[in-house]
Amino acid sequence: MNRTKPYSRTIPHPLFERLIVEDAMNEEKESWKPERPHEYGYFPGCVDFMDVEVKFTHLNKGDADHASIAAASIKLLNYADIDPLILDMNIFKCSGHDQLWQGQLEVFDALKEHNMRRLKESGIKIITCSCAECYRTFAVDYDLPGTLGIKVEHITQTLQGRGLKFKAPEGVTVAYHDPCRLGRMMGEYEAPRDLIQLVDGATMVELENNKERALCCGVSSMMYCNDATKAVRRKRLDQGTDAGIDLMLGGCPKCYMHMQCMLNEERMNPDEGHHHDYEMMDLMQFLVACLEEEN
Amino acid sequence: MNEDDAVEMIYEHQEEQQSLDTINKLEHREEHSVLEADMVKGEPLYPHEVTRDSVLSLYIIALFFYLSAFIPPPLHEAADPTAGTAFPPPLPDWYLLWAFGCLKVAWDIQILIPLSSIPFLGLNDIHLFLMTAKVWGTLVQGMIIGLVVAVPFLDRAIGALIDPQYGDVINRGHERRPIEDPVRAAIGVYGIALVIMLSVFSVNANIAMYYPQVNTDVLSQLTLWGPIGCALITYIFLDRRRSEGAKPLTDEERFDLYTDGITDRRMQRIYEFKLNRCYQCGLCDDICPVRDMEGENELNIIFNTFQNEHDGVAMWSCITCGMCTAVCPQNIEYIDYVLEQRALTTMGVSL
Repeated sequence: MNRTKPYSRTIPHPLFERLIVEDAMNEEKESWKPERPHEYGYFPGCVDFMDVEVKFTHLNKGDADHASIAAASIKLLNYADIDPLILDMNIFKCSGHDQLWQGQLEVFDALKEHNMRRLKESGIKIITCSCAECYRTFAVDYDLPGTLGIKVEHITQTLQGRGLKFKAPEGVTVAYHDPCRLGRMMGEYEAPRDLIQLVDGATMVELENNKERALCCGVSSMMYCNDATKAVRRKRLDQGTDAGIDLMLGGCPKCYMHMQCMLNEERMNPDEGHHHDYEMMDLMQFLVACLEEEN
Repeated sequence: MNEDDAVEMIYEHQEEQQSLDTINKLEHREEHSVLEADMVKGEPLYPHEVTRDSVLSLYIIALFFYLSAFIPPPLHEAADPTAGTAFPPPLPDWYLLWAFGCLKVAWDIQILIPLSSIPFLGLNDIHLFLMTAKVWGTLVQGMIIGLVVAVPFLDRAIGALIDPQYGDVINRGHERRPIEDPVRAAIGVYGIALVIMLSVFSVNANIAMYYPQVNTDVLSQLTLWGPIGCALITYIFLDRRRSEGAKPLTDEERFDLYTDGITDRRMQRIYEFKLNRCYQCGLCDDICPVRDMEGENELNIIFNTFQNEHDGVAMWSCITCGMCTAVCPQNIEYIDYVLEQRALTTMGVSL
């Protein structure tokens, strides 16, 4: 078979992945105990590492702020009368999703062993994640319900049906971009949409491909970012322009990162003629913005 | 005429030619289509092959007639299974014993007309032979084979009589596991047991030579009641299992059975078990976002994996979005395969 196009076959190591791998290989033996018992635990994921990544490399000159997803999630959980235990990177390590899907099983096993030990010590009943990848990894690859008896929820499932009320600052048209891990792999399509329906003044439209047929953001597990993956992303962004939206909402920080990166790149190079006249936001950031407006 | 006008004219001419070509292709699409070209290859059944086969068959039949008419039979008279001159009697091969048994259990069918019971006439009874045992026993063999051939037709006819919607059994099939249909399973067990008992009955003289107490009467009773007993036991057992609530196995249970039963080549993952179900419909290929962007016509993902033909490109450029699994009619979990292949490839490479 003759191939005319060259394919890149290496796995690049972004900065934050090197940090996570170094972190995984340092074994911590001492035990840890939370100050008081909690029913819920909130796992923010590697958003801190992502911020480090986009600031240290010149991949993204925009104003993407990933740590605000974690802050917004905690604020929303408190608003719903939930007092979560924050399972941040001081105590826990990365869930290991990217390492697993890149085939680095040694790193994944080290991370999993550490996190399982910490989860056993924490004594929580339910763990909730704002990241779709962490959600899938905890539910399927760690199998927490089967091994430790801890229920795993995405944050949209936790917030669903708790009588929350939001008000959008103005009449905005939003669309929800289904992350592959939350939608196709875990089968959750309705909880984020229900949350968006709660927002007064926001009109939700469906993109051309939605739910099972939703297009991917193009970079899964930080494998690489090349012309082909950018084309996948641009196809998704074009669908947003076709639907005439003001905001695209994602349920996964990785979707937010890659989409926002693409939008910023287009704004920096206006000569290329690709322009999408809207913003990408994480669902949690959007909801907390609507919350503040009401207060 | 200046240069721009000339260029414009050339463009117009080219466009016109292209549109003409397109119309031409559309009109003669059937003549040039690959399918059409494939279909005219080979010869039609009628009259080509029918004529050739008929000539050959008739030639061979004529040859047999010639030989049988002019060459006397080398053997003597036809064999008589009831003669019993030799001891122990000659037996056919083991796989034909059931047919021999049919000949032996057959009886003369005769009708008794009891004329002597009519008073004042003084007539004798009349025994009317309908069939001798030889003819009847031979016919039974044909009837058994005919019954096996007729099973699908009878099955559908009876089903349609009982439940009119059951008539489309050809489209949806019916239950195959014995537990789901105890009646058919019992009938099948009856047939197998009957064949075995007929074979045993056919060697009755040889058995009686060593075990005199097992005489012909005992054997004939066993041949009659044994298969019926087997069928009843099967029906009762299966019906009880059904009432206990035995359900069809799930994919995972079937996979476990499979791996327990096979020791030479053990399938390691459920995706491998499911990958064999791929019938190359190509839906995954149509929906794949990667193929859309970089593969053009070359990246038929699951099909190539099935054929072991992908060279690693699909494995590393896959973005594991799971769209192929979402559209797959067989629900093959392709990304599990990608996950494991990546782990195998990077083993020892990472750190």
